[in-house]
Amino acid sequence: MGFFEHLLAGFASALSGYGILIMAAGVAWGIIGGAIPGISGAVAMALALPFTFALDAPTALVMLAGVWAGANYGGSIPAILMRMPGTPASAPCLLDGYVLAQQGRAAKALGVSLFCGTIGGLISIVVLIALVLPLGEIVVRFGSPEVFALALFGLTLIAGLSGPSFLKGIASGFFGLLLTTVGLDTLTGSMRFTFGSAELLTGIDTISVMIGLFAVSEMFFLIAHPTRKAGEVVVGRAGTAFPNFRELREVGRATFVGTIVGLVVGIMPGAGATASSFVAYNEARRWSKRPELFGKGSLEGVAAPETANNAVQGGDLVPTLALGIPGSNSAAIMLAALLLHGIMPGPFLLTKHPELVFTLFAGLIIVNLLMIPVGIVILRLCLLALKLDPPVLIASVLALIVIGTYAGDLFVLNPVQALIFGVVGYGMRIWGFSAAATVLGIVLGVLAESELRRSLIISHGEWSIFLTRPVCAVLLFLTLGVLLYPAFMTALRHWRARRVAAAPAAKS
Amino acid sequence: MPGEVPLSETAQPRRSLSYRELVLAAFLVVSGGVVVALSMEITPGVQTDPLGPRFFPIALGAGIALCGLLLAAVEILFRGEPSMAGPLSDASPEGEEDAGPFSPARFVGAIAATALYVAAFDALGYLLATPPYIAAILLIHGGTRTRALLITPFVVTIALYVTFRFGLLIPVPDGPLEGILPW
Amino acid sequence: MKRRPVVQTICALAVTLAAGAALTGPAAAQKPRGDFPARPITFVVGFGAGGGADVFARAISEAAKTALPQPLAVENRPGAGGTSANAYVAGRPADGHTILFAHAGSSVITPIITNQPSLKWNNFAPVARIHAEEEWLMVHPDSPWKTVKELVAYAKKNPKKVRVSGSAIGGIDSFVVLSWEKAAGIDVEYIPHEGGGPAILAFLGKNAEVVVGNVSEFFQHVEAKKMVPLAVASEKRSPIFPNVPTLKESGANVVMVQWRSILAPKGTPSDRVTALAQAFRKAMNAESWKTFNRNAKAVDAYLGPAEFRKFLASEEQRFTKIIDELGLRKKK
Repeated sequence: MGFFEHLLAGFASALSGYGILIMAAGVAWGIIGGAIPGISGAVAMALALPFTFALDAPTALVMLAGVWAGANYGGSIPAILMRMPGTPASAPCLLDGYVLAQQGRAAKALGVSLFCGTIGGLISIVVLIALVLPLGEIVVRFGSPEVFALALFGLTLIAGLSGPSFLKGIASGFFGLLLTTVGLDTLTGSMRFTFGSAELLTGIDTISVMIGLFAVSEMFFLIAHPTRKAGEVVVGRAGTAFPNFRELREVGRATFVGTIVGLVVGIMPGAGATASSFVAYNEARRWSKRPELFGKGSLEGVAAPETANNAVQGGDLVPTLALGIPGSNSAAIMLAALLLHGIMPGPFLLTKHPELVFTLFAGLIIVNLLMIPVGIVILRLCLLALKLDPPVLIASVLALIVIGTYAGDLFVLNPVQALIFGVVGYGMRIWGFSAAATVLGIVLGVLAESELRRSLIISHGEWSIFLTRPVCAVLLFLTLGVLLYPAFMTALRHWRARRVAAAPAAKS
Repeated sequence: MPGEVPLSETAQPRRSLSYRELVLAAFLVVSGGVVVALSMEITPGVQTDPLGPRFFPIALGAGIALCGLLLAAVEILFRGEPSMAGPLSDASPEGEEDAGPFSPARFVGAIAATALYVAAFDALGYLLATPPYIAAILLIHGGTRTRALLITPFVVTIALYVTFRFGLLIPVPDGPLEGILPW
Repeated sequence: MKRRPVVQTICALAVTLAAGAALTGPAAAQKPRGDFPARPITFVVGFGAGGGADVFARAISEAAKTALPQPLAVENRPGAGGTSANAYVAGRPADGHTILFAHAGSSVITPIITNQPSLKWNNFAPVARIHAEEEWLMVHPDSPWKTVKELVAYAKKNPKKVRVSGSAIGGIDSFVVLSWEKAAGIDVEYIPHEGGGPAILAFLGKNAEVVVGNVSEFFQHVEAKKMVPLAVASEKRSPIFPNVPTLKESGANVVMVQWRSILAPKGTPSDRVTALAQAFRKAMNAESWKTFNRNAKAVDAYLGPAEFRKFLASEEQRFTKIIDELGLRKKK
C-alpha cells in the first residue's frame, strides 16, 4: 500500500465505531484537565490511562492524542481569565491574555488561543506525517550544546520582561535560575539546598511555583487592595465577540512565528512546550509590527505562545515514533499505553505496525480539528465564570488552586509552594521585581545548567565545543546579537541626535 | 515609582534619595551573599563535569549581590534607572491606579487562612477543611451577602470534590471521614 | 458543527461504565481468602505516569486480575526520588489494602543517601520481588572495540577518553559504571542524563562511545543495528544475547540488575502478605504479563516474602559500601 492509501485507511480506522466520540471525549477531558491549575497535559493523559485498557491500541492512542491536544489549549483558559497558568506552557499567554481580559476582551483572547493553537497543532502534525523519518535522523544531531544555546537564547527575554528596572529584572531572573538548583543534582548526585529533607529532593514544583507567583499573588493582591468602586468587577470581562477575520490576520505573523518555534523546539530533545512558548513569545515580539503592545494587551502575545505549545506535539512525536524515545512526558504516556497493550515501541513501529501509526496520524489530525467545536463549548462555559461575584470567584479560585496543585502529584508540599510563592510574588510586584522573569528563569534554568555541564563532559572540558558545533555556534551568535542590538541602536540614536543638534549650530 | 532622569539633562531637579530602594538593594546583596555561603556547603558528590554542583549557585548568588550593588549605585548616583528596559512589566503603574489602598489586615488574613487550610488539608480531609476556608476568604474579602456566605462554601466544596474525586479519579484526602463515607 | 454537551456527557459516561465493567469483570472468578481483599487494593507508585515504574505497576496490576478478586488501583505519588510514596504508605493502615512499588533506588539507595532510615525497605513488610531487567553496556556498530576487554585495555591507556552515557548519578546505571571503573581499574567519563531516553539519544548522536542501561530500552536499537552489546552486568550470560560475555567473565565482578518489587506497610498480617505474594506469583503466569515481559526483555525473578527480605538486606549492604566509597551521602 502506498503512503496515501495507508493514510486513508488510517482515517477510516480512526473514524470507525465510536471513534469520533471517543476522540471528542478525549479532547474535552484534555481541555478540562489542562484548565485545572496543577494538572498538566501529561497528568491529564495519565488520569485517562485506566480508561484506555478497555479500548484497542489504536483507539487508546488517538484518545490520548486528544487529551494531549486538548490540554495544550486548556491551560490558556485560566491563564487568560484569572492570571493562572493551567499548564506551565500557558504561562506566557497570561502576560497579555489577562490584560486583555481586564480590558473586556477575554473572549477574543480565548478565541485567538484556540484558533491559532489549532493551526499550529495541525501544521506540526502535517510536518510530522510527511517528514517523520528524515526528522528522526536529525533529532540525534541536537545534543547538549545546542539545547544549552537555545536556553541561553530564550533567557534573553529577561530584558523584555524586566519592566522599569532592568537590574531588578535581571535579579528576578537570577532568582528563578537559582530556584532550579534546589534538589538532587543528576550530574553529581549532590544534594543542593535540601537542608536534609527528602521532600525537596526533586526540587521545586514548577507549576505550583508558577501558579503561586502569578495567580495566588494576584488573588492576594485583589483581596488586600479592595477597590474603591464597590461592585465594580475587577476581574476580567468577557466581551461578546470572538476574533474576526481582521484580527486573525493581525496575528498571522505571530502564528507563523509560533509554529516555527514550536516545531524546532519540539524536535530538540529536552526542550518542550514550556520553553517553546516562552521563546515564541520573545520572537513574536521581536518580529512584530507593534512590539510596544506586548504586555499591554496584544493579541499576538497570546497567539504566539499558544501556537507554539500546540505545535510542539508534532515535534515531540518525531523521536517517539522514529526512535522509540519519548520527546516529552506526554509522549512517554503514549508509549506507555502502547507497552500496556502489548506493543513494543521502537524504530520499527512504523514498519511493524503501520496501520497503528497511520491511525494515530489520522487521529492527530482529527483531534486537532475537534478542538475547535469542543473548545468553543467549553470556552463559553468558562466565560460564565466571570459572571460570578468577585469574592466568590476569588475564593473558588484559591480553593481550586490548592486542590489542583495537590492533585498532580498528590503531594501536600505543592500547595505549600503555591502559597509561599504567592506571597513572594506579591512582594516582587510591589517592589518592582518581575515575577515573569523569575518564571522564565525557572523554565529555562534547568536546561541551561544541566546542558552546559553535560556539554563540558562531552567535550572533555573544552569550552570550544560551543563554537565548533555549527548549530550551537549560530544560536550563540544570535544570542549575542540580540543582546547587543538594543545597546547598539541606542548608541546609534544618541550619535545621530548629537549630529543633528550640532548641524544647525554649525550652520548659523 | 523611581523617577526617570535622562542622563543628558541636568535642568530637572532630582527627586530625593529613596531609602526603600536602598533597603531593597541591601536585601539583594545580603541574600546573594547568603546564597554563596550556603553554596560552599554543597557536597561535591561524584565528579563528572568540570564545573561541579557549586558553580551555578555561587555564580547566581554573586550575580544577585552584584545587582544589589549596582542598584544602590544607580540610586545614589542617578536616582533611578533611565528607562531603557522593555515595555513588559508586572509592576506597571497603570494597573495600580484602580486598586484601593493596602489593607494589611486583609492581606495577612488571606495568607493565614490559606496557610491553615493547607496545613489542615491532609488531617481534616477535603470535605471538612474546605468550607471554612472558603467562608473565611469570603469574609476577609467582604462584600458578600449573608445568604451567599452560607451557601457558597458548600456548593464550591462539593463541586470541586465531585470533579476531582469522581471526575478525575484523584484520591482526595478524606481525613477522619475515611471509612465512614459510603464511597 | 457544535457538539451538544449532553451527547458528549452521555458518551463519556458510557465509556467510563464500559471501562469499569471491563476492569472488574473477570475478577469475580476467584475464591476469596477469608474477607481479604475486601475492596480494591491501592498500589502506590513513587514515580510519574508513563515511566518504567509506572508501566510495570500497571502491567502487573492488569495481570493480577487473574489472581485476585479485587482490582489493584495504581496511585502515582512522585517525589523525593520515590520516597514520597514510601512515606505515604508507611502511614497507611497495615491491612493489606495498600501496597507500595519498590526498586533499588526508592527502597535502598535514596533512603541511605538522604539519611532517612524510616523510608528504607526494613520499615516495610517485603511482599515479593517480581522481575528484573539486566544492565547492558553497548557500543556503536563501527566501534573500534569488539570486546569489553579491548575497551578496558584502551581505557587503561587513555584515561578519561571514553565517554559513557547513562542515567542520573544515584541510579543503577551510574552504579554499574562506577563499580566497573573501580573493578577494572579504569577511568572513564560518565555522562549522566535525566533518564534512559536522553542517554540513548546522546549515544546515538555520537556524543558518547558507550551507553549503559536497561535492555528493554536498547533492544529495538540493537535490532536497528544502531547498537552492539558489549557486556552484561549479570551473574550468567543473558538468553537474549548468548554470545555476549558478562562483566564478571571479563574480570570485573559487577553484578547489578534493575529489580522491581512490592512492599507493604510494616505490621501487615503475615497471612495477608503471603496471600498477596502468592497472588503475584500467579499473576506472573498470565498471558498479558508474559507479553509484557517479552517486550520489556525482563526476566521473571520472583522471590517470596522471606527470601526477598534476605535479598534486600544484602542489597543494602552492597549499596551502602558503594555509596560511602563514592562519597554520596553527607557524614553527619
